[in-house]
Amino acid sequence: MSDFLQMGLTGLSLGLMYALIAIGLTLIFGVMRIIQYAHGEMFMLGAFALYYWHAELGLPYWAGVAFSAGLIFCLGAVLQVVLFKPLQGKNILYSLAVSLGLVLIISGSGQLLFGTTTKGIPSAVSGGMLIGGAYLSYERIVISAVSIGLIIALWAFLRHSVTGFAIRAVAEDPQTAALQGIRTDRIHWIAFGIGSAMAAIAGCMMGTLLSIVPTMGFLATIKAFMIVIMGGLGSVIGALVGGLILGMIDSVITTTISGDIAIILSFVVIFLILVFRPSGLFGQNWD
Amino acid sequence: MLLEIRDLWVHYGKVEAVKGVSMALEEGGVITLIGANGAGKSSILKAVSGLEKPSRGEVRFNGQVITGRPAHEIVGLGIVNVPEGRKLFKLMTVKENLRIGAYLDSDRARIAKGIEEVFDRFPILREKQNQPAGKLSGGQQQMVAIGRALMARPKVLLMDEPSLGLSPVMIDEIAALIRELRASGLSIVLVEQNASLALQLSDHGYVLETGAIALQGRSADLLTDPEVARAYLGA
Repeated sequence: MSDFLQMGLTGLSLGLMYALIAIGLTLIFGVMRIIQYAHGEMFMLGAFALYYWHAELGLPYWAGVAFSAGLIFCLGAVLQVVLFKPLQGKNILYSLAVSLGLVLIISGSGQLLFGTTTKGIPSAVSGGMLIGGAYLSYERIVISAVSIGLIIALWAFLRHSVTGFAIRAVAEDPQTAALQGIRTDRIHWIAFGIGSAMAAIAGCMMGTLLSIVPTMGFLATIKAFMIVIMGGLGSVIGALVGGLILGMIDSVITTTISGDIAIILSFVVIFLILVFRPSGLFGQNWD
Repeated sequence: MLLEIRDLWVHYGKVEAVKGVSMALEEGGVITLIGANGAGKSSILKAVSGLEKPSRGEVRFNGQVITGRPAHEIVGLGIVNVPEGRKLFKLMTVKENLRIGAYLDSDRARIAKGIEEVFDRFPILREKQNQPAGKLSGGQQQMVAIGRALMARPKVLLMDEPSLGLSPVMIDEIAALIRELRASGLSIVLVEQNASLALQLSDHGYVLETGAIALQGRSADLLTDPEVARAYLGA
């Protein structure tokens, strides 16, 4: 029982972290129809932004999370305008090549600038509680709660704000969106920025709960893709559910059996989901 | 003239879709473009709306040249397009579709009033306001498409094949609506394959053949023109 509580909380926090990365990726895909391979690099840069802010400079933790999100929002928006916008409407291979190039440039520079040793970010919250013999750290609880809050905030933003409407409209049909007076180019950089900021916040979670290295972006991108495909391309709910499924598998199987089996089992689950629902759990058919 | 098109050319690659078309719309008037599929009707509307860049010619609105301006600016001027095939945001609700029609409007009270006006006009949409637009019937979707365009408080409405795929009853309703909109002072450019309907609803008609105007005149005259009757009215 106590093991399950502990594994459940670990799985939840891991799952929410995966979900944040995947929601960002699916938002960028949904609005722009491009595959952003360097999404994991945004996750990595977000983590190091908080690391330098909080661990090196000793500035307040939560302000650091906001700083990281804001910085990576700007970086994503600039990358969209400078690199991806000129390729809009052209063969998808061009933007694919650009994002793959970004992976190499950013993770390579990261290793030069940040060093290759593993780093951790000290906790903002300490202590914990014992429930039925299970030790639940306040840090994990607070971080999970904050990420749930963020996901709800994003959902509400997409559902109820005028810009959220515009993002959904552009994702569905950019030409008709323009006929309503929406500046699609503006929506593109906003969505790219928001998606990147989500990854940055997940990076902050990673640095706080686990540890970070400049090369961690690659695996994050792969996991995010697995989740997005499992949940359905372009679906925010799908990314959330997919993230939680992957997080739980990671937590439970790694604790009870081994990490290798957890990875294999994740793929088996995704494989089965795609056999029965080829467009993912919440996928629409993009034509 | 409210809207004037002069010597308009549209190319898709090397294909000439529109070849030197000129037409004019008076304030409060209704003009129609009729012709077969692929005659260039939709391309003209797309060029006016800023979705296609004309390769030559100009579009004037209230005397001001608006050729080549981006689509979102054209909407802001009051030229609003009801696209062919409705093109609703199918995953968004009926009400959200209407709301987004008023995207450029920042007056909340006016937006709420606009939505109420659309619901008064099409009571069925009030019932279905929270359903995804993609779940509605063809006729109801056309109501949403027109309602969404009206939300932008247009001066000129560009209607691309509003009768396409609708039942005869629904076509009568849309026709009545177009008469009503006209009576309320709206100027309309109506593109139709249903030539007899379009000519009954308009003052002036342009018959398009392979991208150029083959014939034009008062709609009442075109309706009785033997050549038009043979080619387009199925007489």
